[in-house]
Amino acid sequence: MHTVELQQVRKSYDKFVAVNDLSLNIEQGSIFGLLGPNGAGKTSTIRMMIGITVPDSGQVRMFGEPFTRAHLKRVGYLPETSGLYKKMKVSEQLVLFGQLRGLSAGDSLSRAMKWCERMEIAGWMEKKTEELSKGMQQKMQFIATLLHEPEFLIMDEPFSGLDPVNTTLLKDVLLDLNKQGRTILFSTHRMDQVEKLCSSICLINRGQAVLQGTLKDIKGRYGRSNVHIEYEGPDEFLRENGLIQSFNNYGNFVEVRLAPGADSQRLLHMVAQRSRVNKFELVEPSLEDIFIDVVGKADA
Amino acid sequence: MHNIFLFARREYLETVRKKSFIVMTILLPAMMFGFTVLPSMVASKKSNETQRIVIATSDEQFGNEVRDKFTKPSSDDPIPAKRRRTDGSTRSFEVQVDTKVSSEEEAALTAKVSSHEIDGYLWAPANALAERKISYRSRASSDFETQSALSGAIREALLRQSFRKHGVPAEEVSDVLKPVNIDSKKIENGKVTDSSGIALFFTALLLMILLYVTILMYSMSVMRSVLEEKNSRIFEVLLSTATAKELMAGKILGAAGVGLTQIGIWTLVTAPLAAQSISMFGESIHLGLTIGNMIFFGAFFVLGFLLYSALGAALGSAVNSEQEAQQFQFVIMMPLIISAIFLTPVIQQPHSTLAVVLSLIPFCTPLIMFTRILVETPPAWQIALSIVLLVGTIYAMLSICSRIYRVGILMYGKRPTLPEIVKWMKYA
Repeated sequence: MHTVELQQVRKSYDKFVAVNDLSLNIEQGSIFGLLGPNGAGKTSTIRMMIGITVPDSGQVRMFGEPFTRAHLKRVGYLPETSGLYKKMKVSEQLVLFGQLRGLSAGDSLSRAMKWCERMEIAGWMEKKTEELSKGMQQKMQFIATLLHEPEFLIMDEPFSGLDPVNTTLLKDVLLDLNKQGRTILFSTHRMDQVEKLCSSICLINRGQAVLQGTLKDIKGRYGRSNVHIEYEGPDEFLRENGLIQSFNNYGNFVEVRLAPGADSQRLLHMVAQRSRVNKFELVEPSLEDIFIDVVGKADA
Repeated sequence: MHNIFLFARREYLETVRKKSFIVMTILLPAMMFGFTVLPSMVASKKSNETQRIVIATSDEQFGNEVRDKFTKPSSDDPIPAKRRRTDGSTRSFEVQVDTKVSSEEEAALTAKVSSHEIDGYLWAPANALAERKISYRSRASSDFETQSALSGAIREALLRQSFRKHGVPAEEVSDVLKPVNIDSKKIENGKVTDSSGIALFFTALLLMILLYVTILMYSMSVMRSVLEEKNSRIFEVLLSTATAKELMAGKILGAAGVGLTQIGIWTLVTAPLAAQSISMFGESIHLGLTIGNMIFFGAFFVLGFLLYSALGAALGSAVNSEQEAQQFQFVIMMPLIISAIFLTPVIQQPHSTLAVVLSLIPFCTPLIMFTRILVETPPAWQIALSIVLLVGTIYAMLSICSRIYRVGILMYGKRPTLPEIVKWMKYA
């Protein structure tokens, strides 16, 4: 079953088309990545998914039914920018969010306490929200989305403003929740952050899906066409032949994307002729490489 | 409904706990008291001092008569009894008559005034009396109370003089000069009540200012808190659990609750005072603060507040900063200011066409109709009609404003133009 199905969803603001006939399916129990650069239409897509805005055309289905507001009780949404009442006490605010989701005040509080302990902000529950650091507020917002134990979690840039320790903390919690069968949607422009987490992705650019499917399929489609080379000596090999499609040169280290059909062994041979090779590795392209590749082609 | 209640309670608790709420609850009545009652109380206390006055006149009888007016207040005192202080004290005078009117004497008297030996002197030589151009010279030339007392006394003395010349007997003169005292009373429900005109005026003024200030203050606070929440981007989260309508309704109801709490506190505190008379401008005033009036006050506060706070919420959602909001605030303030400008004519003639028309314009109804009710209870159909119109307008404004609000709270960055806002209203 699909947790979310978008069918030909479209949203425009005046003449600007934010989301252009986008279709996507999010498999139940999966970790789904909605990826794209800033302004690609990720947040607009999410807003339509949970009824904050209504699509101009197309259909949104959730949990196998046409979307209604009643579905929201089963959804948790962490927005991109933290949205909290600054003057409220942390505990009061978490209780309010729990109550808005239909929990009793007592339930909300006991769940909030448990989560605050796990997220290491238990000592701050009686403080005003504005006294918390940005990272702590992000964790608090995160807790607010989890209190009602939603089946479907939407995380819009969840790791922004978090240090590596807290990023790992959050990641572990999310993986845990996924193991319990909850569906998670990541929306981010930091593809490296979610590459290892997501099972399927949808890459969008200018409101349109440019690439979607399971991560395995996509990477498989691109093959091991990337080469990392550590070398000493001249770098003329980068320029002189038809083997290389593009590269990123860092001095003694270069990431090379091979031209379609090119043989990596020929490249190795050429590099070794004039330079000293310390490392020569065939790697899968990163999501970022794929994205740049796809978007570059679309823009060209 | 559950969500509306949650938002309203949140709004209410947050505002009531603020220091500014406590400060305003205490400060506003204190300020009103300070601006109205206090100065007149201070003024009447000050006038207990004895004024030493010399009457320099060639006509001794005239001088004596003026002096008697001051020193021997009789039952037919031309200074109305009402002008006496409620604490029983009158402004006391020490008056001497000086029949020398030479220029040396004038210089000597001037010197006495300068040296504080006397407070002032009346310069009335024969020719000045004939031309009725008498001058009073004192250090405090703006002491209007002394001057008005003097001019009353002089006029009476001159009148007596001229009656005497025409041979009218003294008793008859006194009879003619007996003062007339108009004591205005309000007739309510066919009965003459105790409340006097001036008391009514001040009560109306006081309550109307209070109503004006509270409506303006609370609708602005709704605007500011919507703006604040818009900037903290909290709406994204809230809209994934509640609708924009619930959010706006909760906010407005919460703020209305705060306003009513404040008015309730004021009513409770002033209730014991209301029954008592207070001294104002030398008069004992019985404030017309009845429970009925306070209920009307609460009702018109709620209605006025709902109307203006809907505007405030829409405005707060449409703009991005306080500075931008200020450019549009006149939309909210204009009708309130107009109501305040027309306050005096409405109090003086509460049944005039102007007052009736103004009180039926929904944006002016809360202030003007309330004032009319205080001063002279208008026909029931007018009150009913004004409330029906007002409620209808509130309903229309809430629905229009909630549309602006719904779109506005998710629009960041640029300030919307008026055509854009109109377009928002049309979104389904």
